[in-house]
Amino acid sequence: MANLSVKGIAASCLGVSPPLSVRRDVYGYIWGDLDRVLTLKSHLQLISGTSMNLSPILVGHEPGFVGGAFTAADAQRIQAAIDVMRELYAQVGVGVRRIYWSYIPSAQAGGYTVVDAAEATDLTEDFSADNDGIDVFWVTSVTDAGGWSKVDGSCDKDKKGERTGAVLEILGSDLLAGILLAHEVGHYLGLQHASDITNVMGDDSDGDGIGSIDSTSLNLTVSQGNTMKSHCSIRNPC
Amino acid sequence: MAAKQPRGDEPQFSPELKNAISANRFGCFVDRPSLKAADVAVLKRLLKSGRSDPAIDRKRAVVALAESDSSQESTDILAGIAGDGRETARVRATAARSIALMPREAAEAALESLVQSNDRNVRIASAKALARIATPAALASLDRAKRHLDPVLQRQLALAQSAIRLRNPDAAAGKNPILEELGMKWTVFEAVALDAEEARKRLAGISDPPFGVEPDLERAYEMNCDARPHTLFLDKSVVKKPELKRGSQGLIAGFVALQEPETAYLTVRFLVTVLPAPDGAQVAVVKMDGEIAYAGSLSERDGAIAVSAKEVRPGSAATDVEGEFRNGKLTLRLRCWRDFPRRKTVTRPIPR
Repeated sequence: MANLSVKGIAASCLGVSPPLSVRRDVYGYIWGDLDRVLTLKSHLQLISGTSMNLSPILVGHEPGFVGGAFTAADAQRIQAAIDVMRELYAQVGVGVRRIYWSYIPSAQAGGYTVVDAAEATDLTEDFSADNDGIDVFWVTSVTDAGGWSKVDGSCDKDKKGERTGAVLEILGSDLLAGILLAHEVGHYLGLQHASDITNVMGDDSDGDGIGSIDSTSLNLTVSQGNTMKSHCSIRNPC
Repeated sequence: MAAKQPRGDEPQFSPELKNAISANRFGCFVDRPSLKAADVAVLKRLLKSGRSDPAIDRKRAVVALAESDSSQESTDILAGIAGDGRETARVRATAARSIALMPREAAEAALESLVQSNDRNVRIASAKALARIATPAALASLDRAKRHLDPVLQRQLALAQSAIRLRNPDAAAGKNPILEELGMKWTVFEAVALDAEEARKRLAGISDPPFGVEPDLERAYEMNCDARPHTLFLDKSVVKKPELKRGSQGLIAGFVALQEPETAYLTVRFLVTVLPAPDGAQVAVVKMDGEIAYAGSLSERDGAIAVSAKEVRPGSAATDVEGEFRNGKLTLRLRCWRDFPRRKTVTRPIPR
């Protein structure tokens, strides 16, 4: 087995060097406390293998949580959702390596804090983060769903006419928020709806394109993992 | 003492209602349930109570009510939720936006008040709802609301006002809503034919070889859609023999050069290419990085060749080009949109 040195992986996979905070620099968690699901060893194994980078974007955020669309609790919920997603993706050997946090100030976000499906597309057309992670925009409310994403999304963030990221609202528990995140990013990585409510990609057994998900939607199959690993966003082992 | 309210797991909730408002069902589906009257009655009681229940997603409950019952009572319930600071921002914003589905008069009255809410998300959602339904009666309150808002929200309200005036010509009162309220404007420029001496001077200002194009100095044109002067040079062969189909590989019909401000220096900015097509020809104006900037067509019309192209570059103000090539003379008209940029904005990093 490869040597799982924290310093080594931090340097070669994450581009950071000592002094290191495992929580901040290795997991990418910057908001409050969090009981991490994955052990450090598991996390290092995953992020040094086939992985993706994630680019969470807080739409309408203001630094210090003063006057913006997000509270500190919201930011911690998003962080917890990422941790849940990491656990779910670990089943199929896909790591979530780097977390690039960014935000759109209220003055620029305009009406994008409350969006429907069409506005979700406009949001991803008008904004992107300058990094190699999948853009995930968190808004105050997606009025006609919990989230939207394109299936097999583009790795060209400037591509016009389609969603170049996922758009989500923050759900009422860490688990649900994490499943929704894993589901929408799963779409972006090429996954269609499943026909099994216990699958992360939910139940669309009637084939109407509308997938139901609940708190039991926790599983991913080997085949789904292979699809995810073939997406252009996936990084090689480091 | 308040009456005991039903809980999400109690038998008063029909399976359909449970499914519509459950906090455990969520995510990637279009949430538009339509409930029966008995379920709506239960739902109204639930929403009016303001009680928080972890088994119930109040946003989903708000959507379920709006989709199932359009009435004054539901309007009042939704307006109450939108204005209630104890509700989450997600629930309040969805309630405000859902009011657009209520009877117009009731909805308009509620939204006119909510658009002046102290909650930014409620103001945004209310403005979006008003844009879809409001009548001229709302114009005055929108004007009042605009005075206290930031520019981005002012624009949202301007869209509402513009939509009202476009739906109701009497309310426009001589205004052009698109131009005046949304601040959009466009200008039409005619390409100006240059005299040969001026064309020669400009051509001399280009240092790089221009892709083998041999410009016809009698037919060079200035085209300015913005402050920077562009010059179109057509190839001599095109001017002499402007057939559409010149072989399967197409041709370079000319180029557009851009003059640097306050200098005599020009650089080739676009290459004008013509490609054969079954019904005439396609024109593609290509940037120097290979990106297509304008795309369109050439077609024969009344003995002339009609030119039509649109700007397709991402992140730019849109420009349309229309014109014709007749008797060796090119006339071109550029319709340039201004103040309507759609540029991709880079998000701001949050420091670790």
